[in-house]
Amino acid sequence: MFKRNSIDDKGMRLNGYVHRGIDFNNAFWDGEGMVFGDGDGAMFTDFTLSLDVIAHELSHGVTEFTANLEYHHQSGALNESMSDVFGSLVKQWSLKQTADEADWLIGAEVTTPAIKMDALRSLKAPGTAFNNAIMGKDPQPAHMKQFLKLPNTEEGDNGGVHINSGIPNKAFFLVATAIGGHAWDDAGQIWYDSLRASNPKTQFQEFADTTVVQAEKRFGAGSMQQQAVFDAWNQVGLKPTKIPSSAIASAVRGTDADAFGSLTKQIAALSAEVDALTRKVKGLESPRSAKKSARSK
Amino acid sequence: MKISLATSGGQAAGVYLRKPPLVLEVEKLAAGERAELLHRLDAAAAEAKSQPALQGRGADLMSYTITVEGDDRSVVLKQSDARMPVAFAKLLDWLQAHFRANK
Repeated sequence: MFKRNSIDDKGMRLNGYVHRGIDFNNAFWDGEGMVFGDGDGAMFTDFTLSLDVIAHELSHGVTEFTANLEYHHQSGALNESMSDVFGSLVKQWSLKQTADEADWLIGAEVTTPAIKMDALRSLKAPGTAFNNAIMGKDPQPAHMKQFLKLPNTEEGDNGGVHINSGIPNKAFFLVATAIGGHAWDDAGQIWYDSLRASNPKTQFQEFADTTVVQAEKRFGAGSMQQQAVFDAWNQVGLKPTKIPSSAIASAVRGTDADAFGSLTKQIAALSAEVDALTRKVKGLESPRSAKKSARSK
Repeated sequence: MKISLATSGGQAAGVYLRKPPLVLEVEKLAAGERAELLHRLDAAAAEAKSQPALQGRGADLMSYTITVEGDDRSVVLKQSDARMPVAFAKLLDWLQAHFRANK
């Protein structure tokens, strides 16, 4: 998909361990390979049944060898989001689905009939993957207004890495569906470029800015792709500070349209003043003015 | 004596975030079950004294906190999925099987 030669881009062997433990309700990346449980048959079933979960774990390896996003708070939530995004893209690629056709669910295949649950997470609608008496309601936010401040402890999910990942997940879904077609082509490429341009401490805001920059690099300033990226982050409550270099006001929807429309007018007015001043200065420096000035001395 | 098991993190972190710990009262167990549980508990506690908790590297690891209170005993044992010591794993298996069978 992105012409990467295995997890480390050097042909690294992929190790996967299955049937871990007894009734193990989880899958994880242990720093060297992937580990999958069979589930207890009540809460979850075999985690290898879900291609997006498998790809999610593999993607943790890719993140480790690229940005190496620290696994706590926002950088950790980005780490988790990368795995959900690329996990979903692998499933979509295998099914040859467009962004509109995809279900955008993570782990739909590991649920059991015993519990009413769509999936572990939803990129399309964070916070709706499950809601039942046994598990409670999916706590993922879809907007910065619902960002959950959790402690950096195991009990706090390391500052909510699996929780607040809902926000960048939603942003990616919005970019992919706004652009249309296969999500791995444009949106996925922008996200992969941005992952490689990020660092261990990258936060949501910085990543949003990076995606706008990377979209411009790959598709051009003011491109449809860049505008989709800018618009998506605004919709989840993050305003990129890297503004697309053309059509600023038209790239924004909702209440911010007035603010950016006003800003555009101010910039235009300032530009006109600069042009007028430039003409004045040029006029002062013309040969005719220079002679006049010499005579007066 | 009460023994509680709190689970967090992992792929289902959203499920465990607000889930209270599971609790059992040792005195309510049948004699055989009680003996088996206490044997595993003693082994895990001894193991914890001889080995510090190992920091697991990786992502989507679940963490387990086993808390023992009562009978002049207060013990907290904590491990995660990666590099889980043997005695803790056996205690965890027993507790999880017990809670599944006694929902």
